[in-house]
Amino acid sequence: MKANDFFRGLFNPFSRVAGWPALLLGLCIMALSSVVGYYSGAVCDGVLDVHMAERPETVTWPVVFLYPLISQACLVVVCSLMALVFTRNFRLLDLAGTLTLARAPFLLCLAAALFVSSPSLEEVMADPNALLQNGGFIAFLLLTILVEIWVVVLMVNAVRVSCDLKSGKLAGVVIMSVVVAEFIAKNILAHL
Amino acid sequence: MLPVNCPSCHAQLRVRKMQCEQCGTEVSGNYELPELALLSPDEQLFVLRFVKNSGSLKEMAALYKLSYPTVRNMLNEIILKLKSYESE
Repeated sequence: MKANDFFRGLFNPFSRVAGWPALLLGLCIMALSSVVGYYSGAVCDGVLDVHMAERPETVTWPVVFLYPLISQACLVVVCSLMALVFTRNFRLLDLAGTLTLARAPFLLCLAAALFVSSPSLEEVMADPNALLQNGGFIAFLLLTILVEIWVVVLMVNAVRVSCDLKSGKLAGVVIMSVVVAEFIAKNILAHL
Repeated sequence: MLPVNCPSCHAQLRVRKMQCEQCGTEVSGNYELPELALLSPDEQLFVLRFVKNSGSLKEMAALYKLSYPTVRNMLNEIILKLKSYESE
């Protein structure tokens, strides 16, 4: 039972944590992720994006803090507007808090990037196998995929618990929110 | 626990007879169970605690050690159930 509770907590902590505690915890983890990202040269530059910068000098303090904050703000605004189509029975604070906490696993990717060096674009253009020969980079990619799946599951549970949506409506709101928020966030970040 | 469904065919049970333990008087009839009695024991306890906490979901969340939206969703499910009993 304890193992079950642990895994349930990993994928749906929101039955116990929502509102202000989730928002504050989520923001603290985002801030820590930004600091780690600065030193690892990786940035969360989108709703579900984690990228290692090709040129480390582009990863500045404003970039590591603003990019994920803007992306997350876009997601919360878009998701709340989408959810309003189906229900008014939710608090914006719960949705904002749970969605922000749902980003927590990205810290693992940013921390892993501390130990990984990605091949440069020139290296890959000269020899495409350079990517496959870099074991650390492959492991980082696999970790990123797993973390992305984990974050998506958390986002679905965040919307499910905060807005009491189920099945088709839930899937529709999450998918549309991620797509639209990603589009808006990328456009905003491109103009920064 | 008061049974509300038939153990054979799961139809809703009705009250036929009630008895006074003090004087042995029996009252026979055909009475419907109140809607609240049709809820599960956990749901009845939830409703009881909700009323005792003056309808505060915040206090219910603290009592159950669950998040506010989770407790609100539990209440929504009970409301839906009670509404379905009304329409039957």
